Amino acid sequence: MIATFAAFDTANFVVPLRKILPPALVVVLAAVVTPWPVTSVVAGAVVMTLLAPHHFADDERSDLDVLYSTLPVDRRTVVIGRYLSLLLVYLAVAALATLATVVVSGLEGSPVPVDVLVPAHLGSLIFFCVAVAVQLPFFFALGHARARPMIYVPVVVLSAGTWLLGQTSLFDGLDPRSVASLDPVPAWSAGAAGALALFVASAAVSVVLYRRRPL
Amino acid sequence: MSTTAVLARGLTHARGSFRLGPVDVELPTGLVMGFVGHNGAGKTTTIRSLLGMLPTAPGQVRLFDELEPGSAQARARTGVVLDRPFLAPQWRVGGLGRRLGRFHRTWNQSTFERLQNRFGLDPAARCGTLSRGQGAKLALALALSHEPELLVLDEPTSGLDPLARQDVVDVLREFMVDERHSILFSTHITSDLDHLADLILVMDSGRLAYSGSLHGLGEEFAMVRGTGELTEEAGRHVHGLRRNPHGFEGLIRTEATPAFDSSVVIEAAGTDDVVIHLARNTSPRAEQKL
Repeated sequence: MIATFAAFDTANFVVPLRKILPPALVVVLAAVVTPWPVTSVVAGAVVMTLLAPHHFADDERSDLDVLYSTLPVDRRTVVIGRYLSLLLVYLAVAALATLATVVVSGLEGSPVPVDVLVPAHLGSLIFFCVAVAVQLPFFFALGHARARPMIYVPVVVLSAGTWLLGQTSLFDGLDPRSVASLDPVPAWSAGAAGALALFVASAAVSVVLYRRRPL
Repeated sequence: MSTTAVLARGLTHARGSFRLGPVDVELPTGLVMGFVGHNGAGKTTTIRSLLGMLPTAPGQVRLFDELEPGSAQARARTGVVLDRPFLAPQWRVGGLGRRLGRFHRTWNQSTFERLQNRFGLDPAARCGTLSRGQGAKLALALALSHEPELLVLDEPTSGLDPLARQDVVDVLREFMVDERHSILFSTHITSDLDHLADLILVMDSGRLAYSGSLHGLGEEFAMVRGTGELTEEAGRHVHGLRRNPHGFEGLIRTEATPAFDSSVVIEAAGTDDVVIHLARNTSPRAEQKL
């Protein structure tokens, strides 16, 4: 039943198409108008973290939480289905960003920047997973209206991360040439695995919180 | 077949200043229970608790003898119509079977289409464009199309014209032809219950004022009317006392009849009388001048 709910939820996310077309356009435009087509991958992650709260707002506007509580699915199924549908839509957006990167690179006559594309995907996945993992338990516990400030979590995560890097001496004295010679993929991969683990833990917390929420 | 469709013991809930209960509800399989009370009496809170939408203590509520409210198994056997439709406005009526039917193993698309036709619902219409009455009919059609054993209805006939209300009541009557079926039905239109309900719950300020047969309500309560003054002893038994230029009227429990002398008229109370006078009754001696 989790797959059924995830499919139902994904369809609600992307239909009508006018909900998903503007974000998709942003992803494609990021590849076209910026000097680095791979920017569209990062744009995709940012767009998705902004879209996720809207999905909860749509639920609240249409009383779909009440609908879910009359369907023969328990609340655990609703939570896991929602996390899966967000991940599915994120992967679709990431695929679109990859396609945009490949096409724009081809049109510009430059090779596909695979050495940047893979870390960009892993970094974007980390950003998406961390932002959504922090936001979603609040939306499940309180609903969109009461958890609205959590919309700004992605901005806070980015700003706090940048500020912390600036405040620490982590990168002081590093030779850019030695950094460039390192293979970033293992580090990004480990980070992505950690972010996915956080995503799963967030789903577990959301199950507990959503079970307690009066509807 | 389960023997009890709904069983709640000591159901309580608190939200802000409102306190529900403790409330006991027992709906045997095969019967219709009407649920009446003024706005804010606790009907919707009780219904939501019975459906698992509000948290309840383990074991406080059992559906179909053994199932926890809110469990997938209980929901699969329950059809729900609430006071507001809970469908996305952009969804089309005709597509709801495909959209929601996949969750129910027992979904019957032909029943859904038959009820759509019967209620005059346009399959091409978007849910957001339906009137309140059409929304209630659509919700009922959806609730019946997965062939539930229990229907829980929260004011399904409010906002409907008399003809549409009759249609809904007729559909509910047809549903009750099957002896495995039961209905819990909250309404402000008590005449809908007259020929449908076997049992009735009357709620007042979060508590049960009466629970029993519809027929028994007339035996439990009576209306008292008089032109003179009430003695202090008699006044203590009157609920929702109303005074007018010609005298007074109020609701009493029939066991209090000996407290009144022969100068008053005591007659059977209707369901509306009970609801109205209990709602007016902040305390048994509260009175209202007209």
